[in-house]
Amino acid sequence: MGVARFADIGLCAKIVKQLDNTANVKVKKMAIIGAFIFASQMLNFPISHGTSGHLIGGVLAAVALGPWAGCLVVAAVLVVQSVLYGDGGLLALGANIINMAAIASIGGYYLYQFFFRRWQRQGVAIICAAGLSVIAAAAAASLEIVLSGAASLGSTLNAMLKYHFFIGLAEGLITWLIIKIFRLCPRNG
Amino acid sequence: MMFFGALVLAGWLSIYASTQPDGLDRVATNLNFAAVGQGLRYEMPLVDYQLPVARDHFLSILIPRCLGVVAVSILIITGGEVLRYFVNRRLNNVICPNLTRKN
Repeated sequence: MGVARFADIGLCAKIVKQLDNTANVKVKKMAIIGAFIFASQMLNFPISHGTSGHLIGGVLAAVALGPWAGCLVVAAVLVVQSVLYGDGGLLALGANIINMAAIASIGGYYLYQFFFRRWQRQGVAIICAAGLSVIAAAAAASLEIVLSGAASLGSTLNAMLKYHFFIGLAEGLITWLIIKIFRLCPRNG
Repeated sequence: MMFFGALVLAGWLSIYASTQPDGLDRVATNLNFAAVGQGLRYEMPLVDYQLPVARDHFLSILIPRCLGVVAVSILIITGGEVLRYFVNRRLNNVICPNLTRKN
């Protein structure tokens, strides 16, 4: 009886230690990917009409880490940008987290899973999911702008989708390239 | 490797990034709502990703950007460690209460 009890305690301790090690590795991976997304978001690339775009990184983080961890990573990036640099603004931080962390990351991850199951091609699934995640985030931002009473739905949605279509194309390609280069082992659902 | 890549992107390549307004800024300017909420602005310590002193000097651009890369990592690791501490305590209590009771 006593031996069995000691064996149980030993097994429990082993399970807890294993879970702890897994969490430790994942936190480090989250920190590195977060740092990379922060740096990538500073790299604005020119698109049409004197406008630029930058990576959101929602699908990149979600595919590499899973949807919830990815969401937390993008949220952490947005917090640092907002608090240290005033980029995005504190007032809009909540909306930015909803659009770029929740919608782009979690939504993008399930889009990736959907496309991957349908086509069984990782690259195409990543490009489509990342591109659509930008468009979904832009649509959500449009709705928030309309709800704040700043502009009308038609004009905002039209303008936002026009620019973010090109940004989405770039996001898809950049996300796929980064995942390929750093072998971020995407989850296949 | 990826962290080093982040430092290179932040400290060097970001200097060559486009300075044109991004998609949302462009829409805000075109639809005349860019000024909404401007009255509530207050200065952040590293606004425009530059140090408040010696602006336009390359170190004034490089330091805050690399600092941001480190700050994001520290924020995530700190959050993760705090979470790990509480999860471990809970796991020890739920899965093997004998271990914690002994202590």
